[in-house]
Amino acid sequence: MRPGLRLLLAASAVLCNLATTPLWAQGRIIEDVVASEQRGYVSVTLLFSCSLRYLSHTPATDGEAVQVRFSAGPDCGRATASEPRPMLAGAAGYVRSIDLVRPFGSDVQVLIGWSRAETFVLTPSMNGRQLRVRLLRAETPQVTVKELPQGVSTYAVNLASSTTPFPPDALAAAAKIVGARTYVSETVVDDQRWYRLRAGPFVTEMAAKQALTNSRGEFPKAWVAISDDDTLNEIGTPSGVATVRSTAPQVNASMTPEEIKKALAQAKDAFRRKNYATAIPLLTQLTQQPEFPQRADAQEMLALARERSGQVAHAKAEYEDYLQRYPTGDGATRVHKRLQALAWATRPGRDGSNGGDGDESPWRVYGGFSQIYRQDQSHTESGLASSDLTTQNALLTDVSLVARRHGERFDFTTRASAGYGYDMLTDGPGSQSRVSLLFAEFADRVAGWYARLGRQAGGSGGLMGTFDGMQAGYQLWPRLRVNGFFGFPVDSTREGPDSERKFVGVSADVGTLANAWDLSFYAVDQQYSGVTDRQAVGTEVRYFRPGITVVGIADFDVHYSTLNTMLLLGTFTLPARWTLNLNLDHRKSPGLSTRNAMIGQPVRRFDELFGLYSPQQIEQLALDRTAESKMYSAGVSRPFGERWQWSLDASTMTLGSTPESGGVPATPSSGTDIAVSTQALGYGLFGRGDVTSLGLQYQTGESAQVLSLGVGTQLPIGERWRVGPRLRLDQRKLDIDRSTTLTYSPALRAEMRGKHLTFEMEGGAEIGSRNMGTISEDATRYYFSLGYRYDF
Amino acid sequence: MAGCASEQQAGPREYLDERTAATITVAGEAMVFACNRPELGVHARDYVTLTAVDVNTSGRHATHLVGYAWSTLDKRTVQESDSRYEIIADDRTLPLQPMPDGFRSIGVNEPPIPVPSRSALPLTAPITRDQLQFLRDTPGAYVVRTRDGVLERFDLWSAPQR
Repeated sequence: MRPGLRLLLAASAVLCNLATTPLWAQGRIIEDVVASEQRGYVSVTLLFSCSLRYLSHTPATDGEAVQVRFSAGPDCGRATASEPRPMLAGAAGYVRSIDLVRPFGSDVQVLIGWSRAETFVLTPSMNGRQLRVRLLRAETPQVTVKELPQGVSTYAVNLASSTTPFPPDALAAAAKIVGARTYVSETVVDDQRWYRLRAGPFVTEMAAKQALTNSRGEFPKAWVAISDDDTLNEIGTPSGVATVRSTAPQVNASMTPEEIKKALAQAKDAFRRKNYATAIPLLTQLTQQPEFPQRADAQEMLALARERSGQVAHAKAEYEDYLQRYPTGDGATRVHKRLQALAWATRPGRDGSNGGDGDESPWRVYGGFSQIYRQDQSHTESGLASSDLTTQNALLTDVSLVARRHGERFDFTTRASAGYGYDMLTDGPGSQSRVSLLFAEFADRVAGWYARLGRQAGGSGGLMGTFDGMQAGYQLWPRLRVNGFFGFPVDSTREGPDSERKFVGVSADVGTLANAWDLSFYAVDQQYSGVTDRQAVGTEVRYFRPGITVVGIADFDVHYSTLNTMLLLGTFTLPARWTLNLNLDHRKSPGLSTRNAMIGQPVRRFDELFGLYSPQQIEQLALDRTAESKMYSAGVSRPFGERWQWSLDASTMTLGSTPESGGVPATPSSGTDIAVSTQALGYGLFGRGDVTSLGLQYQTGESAQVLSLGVGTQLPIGERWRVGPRLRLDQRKLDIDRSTTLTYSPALRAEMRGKHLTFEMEGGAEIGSRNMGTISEDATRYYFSLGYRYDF
Repeated sequence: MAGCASEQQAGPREYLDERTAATITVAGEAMVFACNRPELGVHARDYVTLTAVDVNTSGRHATHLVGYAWSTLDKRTVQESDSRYEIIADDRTLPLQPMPDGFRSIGVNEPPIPVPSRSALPLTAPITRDQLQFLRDTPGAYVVRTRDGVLERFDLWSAPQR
């Protein structure tokens, strides 16, 4: 091949890559992060701008962070050493940090830092555009009305004492440090008036001691105070909470003893199942009866049911009435403490401050704004010819906004995440805007239903990705939630709603059963221009036990009578601190839908196919264009010493052939690609907070062998700076022309984090040399980015 | 007084109380608080000597401040039962309970520190590790005696080395 022609082909390849890779994919793989609270767990979803195939993760189920390995799809574009951090506003409170690096080969590693130690289950999506992580939260323990410890002592943490009053900002600052409400109490000791800056009150000593531990860094002389000031000894209705009447016995109430016994049994059963909507009317009816032996228990249970249903004012009224009626009853101590806890929980900031919030508004508004400038340039030399090309020159702007209102019964959330990429290239893909999320959600915690409308992330219930539409759910029984969906799938977040494709679906979430099983079942019907695009039923099964996590996903297309996806991944904690990951992944690629018939056809819109083919032919074309993909992977990891984590992974991947039809040539099978990689991660090697990685990967397939070596570190410098030098070496041997390409990729990333403002900068190069025997070709690529992010 | 203190071992001392079968760990040197009594003599003082002990009774640990109120001249003031003693550190107060019959009720028969005088009044108070730490970290801690409505302040006279 002549050098000029080769150069032309190389340039064409770059341009093709540029044309098919979205502007965002070149700069940001994690498009957004969103979290939503569900019954018993928090669902955190990472939205990807290109397809990432899950390989493994470590640690298995528990920790303050999880590292997830993916294999990047071809639509993810060329690797840069690291990525701009995604906006985390949508998962604030759950996710502390997310870092994505591409250390070598096709490997993509995502390190998610949680805000606290979590127990988690990972579930990849069917189309590789999402990763869902379920943070397991203990459900409210099984209810008994005698669960509180005896004793009416109440606690606070005395953070500091002073003979002069504390300024208001000292209270707010202390509240943020301790993460609890603060207040000032006064005392006179030996004729000296002392002002005490306190955190609390706390109902349990354990909670106070936890706060004491949190505060010791800033307040070394902090101590736990026990019922020694007015705040700790008071009960009653705090201002700002509506007072309602308690349930009083009715003169004409006349249940027989048998009816009382039966109703009480029904109420207790409903209460045990946390079905408060059933328990409350029964208990109300019971407490309207004249005095009977179990009336005190019924009233306490009614108060507790109302409290747990979010009916705070009613619960307080019942508790107060209980104390008046049964001041020396068995439950008086418990009720006293519950009333105190309720009073503190609902008290407006009187002379103190709330932990972290600073005000009592039910609204919380937070978000972020970022701008990053990126420039990529490449220089190619082959023989006597050379060329320079600027492949990216863009300013990426992203904004994320969350507004939440948490009411006594109703919650409202609205979320917007959007961006704009200003393309400064004269021959580039052009400026692009995206809207990843734009929805409003309304939830009734008492009735157990929610509805969400707008652009939102799918991923469950057979929904393959982002969609414009509505989903709603209802907690039918304590362990059964039913959901419904309808809307329009979103192929690209850079496009508006497309009403030509629409779907409707239902799903049911069952569990948790036997403290281990969560099951989801779904059915979805998707139409495209009046033709069935996808009609599927499926299930998602999650099994979770300490040390064992298994997730299985099966999706069956009933229209085509074929299995679309079957995915099974398991993570097992073995003796001697070994962790084993297994991953079996069979799927259609791309996911089976009638729309696949457009591949290779000279049409821009689906309905144009009707002028060329009959419906039966279109469906056959769709089947012909859909290949079978199989991937198996296994990996082990183990910590060594206190600072190192080592992992070894092996995976095979096969993409099947597709036949010739409709004028589209056949594609042969890719053969089996095998990848083996090993990695060592070192923590705190140079001080506190640094992470160092060493990795080696070997990939071999029918057309190429790639050996990659990566080394990198992230070093904190002082409180604010982080610096991350990184080096990657790739040796690629292509069988087709027997060429060998050697690429060196040094990069440096620096970041300065302030309280709200973060500056980040990254620069790097890819210096490649391709040897084809008599001819050699050198290609150099430089990239640079500079930006800031403001979080509020 | 200082001479007596210097004869004690600097570090914690442990012994088995043969009467109560408890293992007593005594925290090093004692703290001595003093209150000048100029009406009695130029160098006349009343004292409160305190130390911390851990009482291990069959694995059940309890920490106490134990010590004595004593005087070189006026035995009456320390023997009057209506005197109340409190140790004060910043805004924290810890009442010291007079134990005229000794420390037996807290599992200590053999005195953990030498009895300073025959007329010395044993004092004790249950204390937590946090309170001990607070006491150690508060330089201006002192003892107050309330007698007939009159407060008398005992300032630190000698303290163990940190």
